[in-house]
Amino acid sequence: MKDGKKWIPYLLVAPAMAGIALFVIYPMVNLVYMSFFKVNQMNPDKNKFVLFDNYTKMFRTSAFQKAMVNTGYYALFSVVIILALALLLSVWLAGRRTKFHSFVQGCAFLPHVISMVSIGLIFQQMMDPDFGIFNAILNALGLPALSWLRSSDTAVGSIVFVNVWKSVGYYTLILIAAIQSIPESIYEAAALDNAGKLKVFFKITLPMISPQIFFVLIVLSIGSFKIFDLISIMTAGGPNNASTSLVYYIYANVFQDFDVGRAAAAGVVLLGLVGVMTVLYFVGLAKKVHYQ
Amino acid sequence: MKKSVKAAALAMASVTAVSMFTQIPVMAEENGKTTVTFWHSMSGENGELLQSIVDNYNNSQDQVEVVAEYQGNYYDAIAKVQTAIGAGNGPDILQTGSGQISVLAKEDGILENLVPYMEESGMPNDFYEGFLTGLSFDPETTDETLLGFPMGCSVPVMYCNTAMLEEAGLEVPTTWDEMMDVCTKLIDDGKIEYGFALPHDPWYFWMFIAQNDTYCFSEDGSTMSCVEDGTGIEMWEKVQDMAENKVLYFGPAQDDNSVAMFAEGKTAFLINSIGGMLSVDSAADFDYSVEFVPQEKSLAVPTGGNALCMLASSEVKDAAWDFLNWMYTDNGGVATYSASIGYLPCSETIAEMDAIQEKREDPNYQKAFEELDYADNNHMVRQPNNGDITSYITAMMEATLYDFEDVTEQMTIMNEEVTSALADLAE
Repeated sequence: MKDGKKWIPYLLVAPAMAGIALFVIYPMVNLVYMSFFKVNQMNPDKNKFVLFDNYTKMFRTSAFQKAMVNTGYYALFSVVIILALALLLSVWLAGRRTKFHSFVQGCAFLPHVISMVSIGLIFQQMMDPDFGIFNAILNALGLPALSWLRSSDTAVGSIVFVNVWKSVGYYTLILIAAIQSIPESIYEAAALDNAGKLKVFFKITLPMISPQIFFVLIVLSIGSFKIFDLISIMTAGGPNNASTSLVYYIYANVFQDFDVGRAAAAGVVLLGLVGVMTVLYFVGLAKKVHYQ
Repeated sequence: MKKSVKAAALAMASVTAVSMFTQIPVMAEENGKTTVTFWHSMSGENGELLQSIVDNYNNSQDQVEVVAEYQGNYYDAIAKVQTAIGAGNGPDILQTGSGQISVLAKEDGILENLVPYMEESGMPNDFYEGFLTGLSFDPETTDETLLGFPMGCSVPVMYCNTAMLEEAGLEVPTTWDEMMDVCTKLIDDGKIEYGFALPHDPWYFWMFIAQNDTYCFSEDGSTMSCVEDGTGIEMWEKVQDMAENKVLYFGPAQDDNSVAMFAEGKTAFLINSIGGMLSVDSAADFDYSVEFVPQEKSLAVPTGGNALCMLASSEVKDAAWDFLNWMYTDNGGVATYSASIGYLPCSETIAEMDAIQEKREDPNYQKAFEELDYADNNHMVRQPNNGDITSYITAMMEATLYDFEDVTEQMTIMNEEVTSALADLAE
């Protein structure tokens, strides 16, 4: 490129960079900035600099402590269960092309196209401790009824259950596509060597789809950390904050308690958590991912 | 041709850019009429009713055009209006929950004092005290300062399945002990699954506490005295006892089904706002009556509903006042709104209007109107900011009525967090 035209690449990426600066960098910097203030939304002149006051007070509240624990719980169990089920289903479905398998694949994917609001409302009714179908089934089987969403002990588990039901089909589809893209010749070579099914899975299938698994892991983890809609629809964070998450805590602080400074502090914590987790994934797992 | 297209595109782009970065003054006049922006929180049938009232006002004169805009529920609307005020784009008139108005009222210069307008227009200041204290206004000073008018006004009442009671030969309970006895008998007879349904709302916490002849907050509003002196704990243990014995059905946090529980005959009673009478009416296919809520040491009920206020930032205050004045002096305004939904009249003047007089012929509505004599908003009078701390109360209610955690322990936790939050608000 001639010296006189060195600026052209910068010019070409400038609009995108301006968008990123305006809609990503600026909000993040402003979030951190706001977290040091007691914010008065109606009169910004009255915003008061409180340094770490929002953070210290937030860490002391039981709602935030529960939100942190619950968010970890959602992330851990959602990721592990969804990934395990998606992997199992995809291995089972990928190699078979019968109508039954297509039907199962369709059924597994179906929840993904239903809106989260509908799913939340339907499951809320099915999980009603007194009149829901879930307890009717448990009773019919001679099992003790559960309080589902109306007990601190079972609320988080119930939401994880719905989240798994909703998400597993979508990730299964991604993994099926990954498995089907593995060259058949590799499996034929393994067959010639009399490799067992488990060995084929761990030595061929798993390494070959590791980029997709890595992608699913990152997307699922970040998504689980940001869980909000199901909680908002099904429990409003209750009972007694037992199912609240970090994002729901932020929402409640802004829209119910009108404490924007504290919500910003919680937002910074969430940003930090997701950032650290993503870095850890890349440091710990990126080298184990096998790219063709 | 190409040049003209380019020129047109350039002109359009310029106009777009200029309009994006230039603050365009709000059009305050439309067809020669002054435009008043009115944000409200009424959706569905209530929203259509409010729109028809606004249309009637707009058609009744040729000076002012009120533009009604739905802004979500009370919480959504109050969140939006705070942001809008900060950005200098607030509406002229706002309808919000009476519990939320303190968020705006506690900040100087946000809401317009309506008393001078009332005096100039000759509008009587005869609002029922119970609804003004519900707006956290000190009744001693409301002849000088009113930052909003009560609009849709309600009290909690008890809806009774009279057909079921008559069949079982039982009387309407007037105390919580009687409620326990009646419900236990009906449950034992297999007629119902729960005694009475209670919506998931901290409003009822204030009701139970006030009924134990006590105050929710200390005199200086800094802490929950009902926890520290044990009176609140004593009352709430009784509430928990009712929940444990299935006398009380505490509705879910979302998608509340308390009205459905009553309408489907799964409970014999429903404690709910009189503002919910229309939904009970349309859902229940049996004879029911509206009664006073049962009492403990005394009968005490909080008031609630929504309110109308004018923002101090409005540039069309006279026009906005014209609409407000019409709403409170014309039978087609708040009187029609209240009578149509089932809300109580907010003032003596409105109580005398045709729409309300006709509605008061309904004994159920009249019963709720009579209960207004027992309005007790000590929680608002002593601590006007309590709207900010209801999440702690909700958490305690869920811990004790869903999980059946120890009442003393949970109310102590609630008091600690509320005290800390109140100290924050006082800073």
